[in-house]
Amino acid sequence: MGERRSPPTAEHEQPAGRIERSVDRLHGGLAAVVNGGFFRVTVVSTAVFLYLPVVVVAYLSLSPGSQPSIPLDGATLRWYGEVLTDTRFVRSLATSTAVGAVTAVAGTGLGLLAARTIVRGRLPGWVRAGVAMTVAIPLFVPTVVVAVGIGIAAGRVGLGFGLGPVLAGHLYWVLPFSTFLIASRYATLDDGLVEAAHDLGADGPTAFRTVTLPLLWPALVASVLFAFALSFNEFLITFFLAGSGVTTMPLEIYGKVRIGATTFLNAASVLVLLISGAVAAAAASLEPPT
Amino acid sequence: MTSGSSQMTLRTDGLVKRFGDTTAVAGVSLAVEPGEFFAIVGPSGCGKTTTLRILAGLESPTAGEVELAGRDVTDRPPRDRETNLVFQDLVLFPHMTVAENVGYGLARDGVPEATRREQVEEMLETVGLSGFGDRDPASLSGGQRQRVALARALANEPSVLLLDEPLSSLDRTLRTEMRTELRRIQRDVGTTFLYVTHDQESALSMADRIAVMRDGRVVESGSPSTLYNRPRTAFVADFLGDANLLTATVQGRENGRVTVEAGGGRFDAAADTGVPDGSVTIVIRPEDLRPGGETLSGTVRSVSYKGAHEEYGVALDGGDSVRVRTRADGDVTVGATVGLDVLDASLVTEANTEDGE
Amino acid sequence: MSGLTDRSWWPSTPAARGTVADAGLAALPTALAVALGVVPLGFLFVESVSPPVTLTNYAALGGSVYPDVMLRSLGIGVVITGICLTVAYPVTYWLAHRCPARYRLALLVSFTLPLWLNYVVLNYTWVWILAENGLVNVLLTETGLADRPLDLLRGGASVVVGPFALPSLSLGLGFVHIYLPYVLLTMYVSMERLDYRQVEAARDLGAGPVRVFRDIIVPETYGGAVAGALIVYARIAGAFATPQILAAPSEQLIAQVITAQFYDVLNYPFAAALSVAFLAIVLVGFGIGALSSDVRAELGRW
Ligand SMILES: Nc1ncnc2c1ncn2[C@@H]1O[C@H](COP(=O)(O)OP(=O)(O)OP(=O)(O)O)[C@@H](O)[C@H]1O
Ligand SMILES: [Mg+2]
Repeated sequence: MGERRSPPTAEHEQPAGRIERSVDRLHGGLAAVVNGGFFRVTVVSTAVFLYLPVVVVAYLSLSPGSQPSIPLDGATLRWYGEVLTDTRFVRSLATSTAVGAVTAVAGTGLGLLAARTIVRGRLPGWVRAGVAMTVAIPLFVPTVVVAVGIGIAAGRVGLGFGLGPVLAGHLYWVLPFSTFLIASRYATLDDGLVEAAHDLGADGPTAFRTVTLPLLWPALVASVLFAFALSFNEFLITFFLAGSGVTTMPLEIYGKVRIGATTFLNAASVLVLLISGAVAAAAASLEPPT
Repeated sequence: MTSGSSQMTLRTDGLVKRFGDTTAVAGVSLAVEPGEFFAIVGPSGCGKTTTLRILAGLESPTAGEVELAGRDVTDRPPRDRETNLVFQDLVLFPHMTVAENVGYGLARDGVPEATRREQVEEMLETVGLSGFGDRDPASLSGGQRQRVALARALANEPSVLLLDEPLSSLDRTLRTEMRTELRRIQRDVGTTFLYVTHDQESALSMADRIAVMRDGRVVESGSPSTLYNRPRTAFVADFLGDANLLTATVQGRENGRVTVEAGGGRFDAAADTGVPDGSVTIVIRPEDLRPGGETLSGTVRSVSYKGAHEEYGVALDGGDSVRVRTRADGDVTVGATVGLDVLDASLVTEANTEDGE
Repeated sequence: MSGLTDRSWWPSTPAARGTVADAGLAALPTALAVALGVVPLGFLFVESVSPPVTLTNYAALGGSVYPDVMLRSLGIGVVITGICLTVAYPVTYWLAHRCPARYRLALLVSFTLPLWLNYVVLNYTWVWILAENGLVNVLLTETGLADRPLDLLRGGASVVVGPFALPSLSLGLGFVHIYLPYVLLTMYVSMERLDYRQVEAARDLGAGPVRVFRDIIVPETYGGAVAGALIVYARIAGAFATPQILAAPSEQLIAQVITAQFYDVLNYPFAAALSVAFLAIVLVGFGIGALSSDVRAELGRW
């Protein structure tokens, strides 16, 4: 069967022999389709599609010059040094990390409260459904509408713009994700577990600490990580709420992208992807997705 | 408060629980004595679990009172009650070891770690699980999990242990074995057991006293033998075992016994309740009908072999049909005519048995 | 015998106390969701009919380029969503039912990893694939397949098919790149629930691949597909950063127009009117999609 593919990185490293190989691959691909390898071809192409651009940018971040050209005429980590000593970039990274950390922890706390309300709250059904619907608003309302709405409200109420509003906006943005992540785990917990704890002498807080919390733990960790990633990468709401004083990493990158593509930007991009990739890897090692 | 109530470990008075339009419990009054093995039996949906949950404090009654050792605990939360519940589906804490499960109640009572470990080990020994302390509950067999649940509920020495059909998830052999075990453990620890089940066999074999429930009410209560041999209602007679219910007319009466005519014959029946005039219902257990007599006569319609004994369906000449249970001797055939003696019969009230199962 | 106490009228039962406590716990997240969700939508609406009370902002929506922009945004949303579904069907089917179990998790993780990555950065990576000196053009010119670089980045837009404007190549690729993982994840969840024995049974009865797809796979996973579509559709139609980075100058999308009104023109009432109109259109679409209970069940998982 001919659906073996060479890794995408090989392509730009050796321009010679490329034609041969692509013809080979074309043959292989056709044969694979005929042999029922249609699925595998689709899957491999999808993977290549998702990762090729990232690989190319990573490759181009090694360029000695500030404007890389394919193929590179050398490789250096120099631009990573430049990025890490660039005060603007480092400050934006620090802002994003701090906002992300606060949002992750506080958002997970709020998500836990909301999840508890939705799944276990001793409240009328319509109240619980109402809370779920309200929390879910940012999932269904286009982000630009949410962002303009908050922007206009912040301006009109006199809340103004800056770090506070950005934090509030991020908390609001991650709330539905952390809520539904935790709620789906909460729903699998047997009611009887808490009742058993009460029956054996635990008061409300103790039962929560000794039974509910340990059982929710994986979901809480997943929520912290996902909320961090969401906040760390959030662009549009921040764009409307940051004002002139606050620059988060996505805003900084966006500003630079608008000016032009450079090796500096490539290196910065790779660093950013590595950070969020590491968070994702931590999450994946804790619990498989879905 | 009634005098003598303090001798009762547990009393309830007119418990009512409504869920919207459903009345799950419709006025249950019970009195359980210290050290007693008390069983509540009744068909599915009759309100047993709800009653138990009210006693545990997990549900608050719409009306009525719960009294534990002479103290009104109706509005006390579960943790302030000296009752522990063994849940129908056990609900062991999945994130704790067996020992941590068993020690949970002790930890909540503030028992120091070292003492706790000792007590847990002792408790595990009582239920026959020494050495299982470090195991994960998920790695245990059904019977073992059952024992862990029991140990967990017993460890902090409740004055009443409430058990909600704890054996229903076990297979037959294990269930029989666990019944004996439960009885032994109850004698060993001396705790009052309030055992809820829809399985009359469990109740009859384990309990000191039984209350039979139906539609949210207690129909009858008493010792297993009294309820089995001298049921006062057709419902209890039918629920606690196989029963032949016959319509009879009272012919004569003398202290506690009546002479009745039923199924084409005339015989004596016990009558604990007031005897109405005219038509009554009597219960005869299948094993209380002995072939070879002449009180009743009829034709054998069916024979089924049940191992140690045989059962016949007999159409009486008087019109009714009865079941007869006797030692297997294999000389009865379908179509034969038999005469039957009535060894024991009792008069019961309310003939309605249609919602019996 | 003590009398029966009827407690049903008494407010401070344990249950009532529980309700009060739980309402307290619910208050904080609900307040946040209301303050930043419901209230701003209210502000938006009020703003859109101001000054005092007027519909002029809405009347202005009909003029100039706005109907075109709106239609283009919605059309591109449909096209990209369609492409994502087309790719997601075979990929998730293979992943859920044909992939060797030991690779499944790793592949699933790698297909959903981009969800965790910064989309501004991901969009930017396409610049280096499509730019004049990017990978594709270098390959084409080096191999002689093209004698000069093609205008792939932010170029050659506005192919219109029926009511839909096709996105330019760079915009389309950028969109699919960041939204495909959402659709893959949603579809995978429902694909995994599909009982593969149904497929085998259909094959056994003589169904070919197309039949199997139409009769078994689509009906069984349709909920997941619509849910995935609903999740990404509004985001694509309302995207801002992606078109800013990858769209041709001629293909402005609605979010860019709204943002410009807000930021550059400082015409809040008109920005609000545009937002409300856009929201209304999107919600109508959601309403139609969410009519099916299958879809609601799938969305419930999110
Ligand atoms: N939380 C509740 N909400 C509404 N109805 C309930 C609730 N709990 C119990 N019921 C109803 O009350 C009645 C009694 O239920 P209960 O669980 O006490 O029965 P049970 O005797 O334990 O039955 P089983 O033997 O099947 O366990 C049933 O009709 C049941 O549907
Ligand atoms: Mg029950």
